[in-house]
Amino acid sequence: MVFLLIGGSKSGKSLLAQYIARDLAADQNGQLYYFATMTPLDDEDRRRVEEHKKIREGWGFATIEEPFDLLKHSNNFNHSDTILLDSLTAYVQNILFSDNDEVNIIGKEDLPLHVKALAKEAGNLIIVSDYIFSDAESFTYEVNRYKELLGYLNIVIAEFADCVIECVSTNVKIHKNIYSLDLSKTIDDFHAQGFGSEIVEI
Amino acid sequence: MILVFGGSNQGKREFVQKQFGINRHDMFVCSDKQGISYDNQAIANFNDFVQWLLARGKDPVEYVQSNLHNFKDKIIIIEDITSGIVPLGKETRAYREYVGKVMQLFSRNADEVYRVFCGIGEKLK
Repeated sequence: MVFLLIGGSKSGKSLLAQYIARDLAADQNGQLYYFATMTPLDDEDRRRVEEHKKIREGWGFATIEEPFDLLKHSNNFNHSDTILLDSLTAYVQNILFSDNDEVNIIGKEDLPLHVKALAKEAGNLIIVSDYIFSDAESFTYEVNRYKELLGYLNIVIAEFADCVIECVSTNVKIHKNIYSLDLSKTIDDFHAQGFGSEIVEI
Repeated sequence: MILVFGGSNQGKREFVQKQFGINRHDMFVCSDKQGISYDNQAIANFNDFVQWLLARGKDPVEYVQSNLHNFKDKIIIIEDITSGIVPLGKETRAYREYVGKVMQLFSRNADEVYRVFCGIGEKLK
């Protein structure tokens, strides 16, 4: 099962993704993996990472930190496992703005294939992505390229995903649910918890 | 009249092609360099036409209001630029608000309204 969760900053998308991962893994009796793609560049980033770590403490996630290569750890996964990939946004950022020469040879068309291949390795893949597409300002070429690539990936993943969910200030909108999965208990648990990660002091 | 809106890079035009069987070439794409044409079934990037009008000192709301008959059988595609950061520049702020107003006007007059999110169209009206 492939889930795509999209929302703005502090929309609750990561926490809801955690609940979905937990419930999917419980159904399958498999291992839970947290696939962290963000490369912390400064103290603010490091505090953000710590905040997310705190939120998933005690949930049984094995953490994999990998900024570039989604398939590097494929051999570790099997079909009863559930992977929570947080986030697609950070992954795209790493691919686009990396100094690493090897990274730059990955073409735009290859990226969804990597995500698809990762989804194939595990029983469940839950992908967290961001909604950054509503500004009136025009940005630099690099920023526009970033928006374009993330938008493209979101669309392609939404196409093959079984479930597409939008989070807006912890409200949940299900855009696609091809197996009509009943997510009400998962969403109730998420709402009962209240809030996700705290605001990091900037 | 059908209104289709959504953020940037959401696949709005592809949605219109698939949903309404519109040929890629039967779409007039507005830009800040050219005005508008009513020769095609669909009019894309309408927000750029709003900017085009503003740059020429014209009121986009008045324009749409007095040209509603021209839009009657059209599919209008607009990038929703109204939900982001308030721009610092006065002109960009005006552009953002006029696009919002024009979207209101089209929504009120349209037979169908869709919001496209990650390539998925949701019917709002």
